Amino acid sequence: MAFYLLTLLLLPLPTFAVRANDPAPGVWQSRTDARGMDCVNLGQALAHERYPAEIPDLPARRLDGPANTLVCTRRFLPPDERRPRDEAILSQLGASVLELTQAATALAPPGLTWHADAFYPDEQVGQKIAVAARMALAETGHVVSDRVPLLTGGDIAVIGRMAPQDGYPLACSRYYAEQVMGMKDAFLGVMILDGRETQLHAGTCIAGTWRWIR
Amino acid sequence: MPFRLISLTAALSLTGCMTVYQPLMGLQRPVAIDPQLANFERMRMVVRCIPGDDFDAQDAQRLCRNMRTLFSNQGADVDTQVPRAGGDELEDLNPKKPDFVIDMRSRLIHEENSGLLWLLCIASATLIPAITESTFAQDVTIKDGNGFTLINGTYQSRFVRYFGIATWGINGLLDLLIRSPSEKLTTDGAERDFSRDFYRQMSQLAFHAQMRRRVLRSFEPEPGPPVSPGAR
Repeated sequence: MAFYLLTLLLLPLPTFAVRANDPAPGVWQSRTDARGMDCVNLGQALAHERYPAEIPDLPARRLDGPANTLVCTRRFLPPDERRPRDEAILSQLGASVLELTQAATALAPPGLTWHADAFYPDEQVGQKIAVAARMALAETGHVVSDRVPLLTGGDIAVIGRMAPQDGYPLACSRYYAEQVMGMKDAFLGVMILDGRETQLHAGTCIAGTWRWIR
Repeated sequence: MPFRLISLTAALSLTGCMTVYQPLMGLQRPVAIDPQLANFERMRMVVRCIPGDDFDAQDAQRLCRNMRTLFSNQGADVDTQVPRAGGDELEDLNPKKPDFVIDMRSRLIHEENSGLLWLLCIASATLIPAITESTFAQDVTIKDGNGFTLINGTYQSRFVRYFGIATWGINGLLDLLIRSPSEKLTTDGAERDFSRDFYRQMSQLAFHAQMRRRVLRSFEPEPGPPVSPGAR
């Protein structure tokens, strides 16, 4: 009798063992752990393209195979380690900055030296964004300067109190008026405009004219 | 006695259903917006929930109702539409041009339901659990009143449903003895968690669209209706 009871109790174990690697919450994984992973359901063909060593190709002559593959990466930091806005921006920083720099440089004449800076409430995060922007510019084949154009204290005091739609164009014209930037220079500013958003905006300053990119 | 045992097992099995939710692409992204504030004051939105193969008109109605509540609570004036399947025309009789037209679609991208596992489940009096899983994608496009696409978003969610007394019992014990209230799995929290994630993301996406619209217009105010010469 005891043998049969034990067998009955062991019956579900193989099913649990098979799902030990399942990233969904369950016996082996807590809800917090599951939320700490970035997962996406790719088709098997796309998953094979990205991870050829791990995911086999679709079998020949059979296109209806296990069509979906869950690809997960664990986050570097626990979900509550950084502020939500910082976490959202930093977790997609590479892609969003690349998109912005591509849009900015597509509209600019060739041969310019690019300067980039970020305007973000948190200084450390702002530095990361600025570095990412310079890296993206350099990686796409542009001449990038480490120097960040700076205005005088008086200019900053006035511009700092202005709304973004007025402040950035004025700062741009002041860069050229004070000869901080020349006609061979271009400036890319990356910023957030409202504390409630988790997306980055950008604008360029070329030949004294400010232009919003996104 | 065996009949009583089977009846008891069957009755317990009926409650032995447990659904877990896993946020996939986009749904677990942190949000900075507070959906309880008036983030869309004086804005007019048209939300269109477009039925499809895996998204029937009834579900579309329900989604649109929830979206109306979501954005109305944030100060927007919201109209909802559920076009017929295949119909994609905007039918807007309101003379005021909408600030946003939000198109929402839902599709099933993966479903797994093994007949063999169900047979084993029944044969073992549900000690071997039957497992079904579904992954859905929600595609959202926000356009301005002129039809210009401001922003797109795709969100994936996965639901795994376990049926069986063993799974339910083991997780029930873990909930009772080990897991904290926020970690419990046998409570009916999957739909609630998904709704919380999804509607937060919708608020954030709409706010991004609002900011992007302002930037693309270089912060120029929306042109008002033309003033007739006699109005001066």
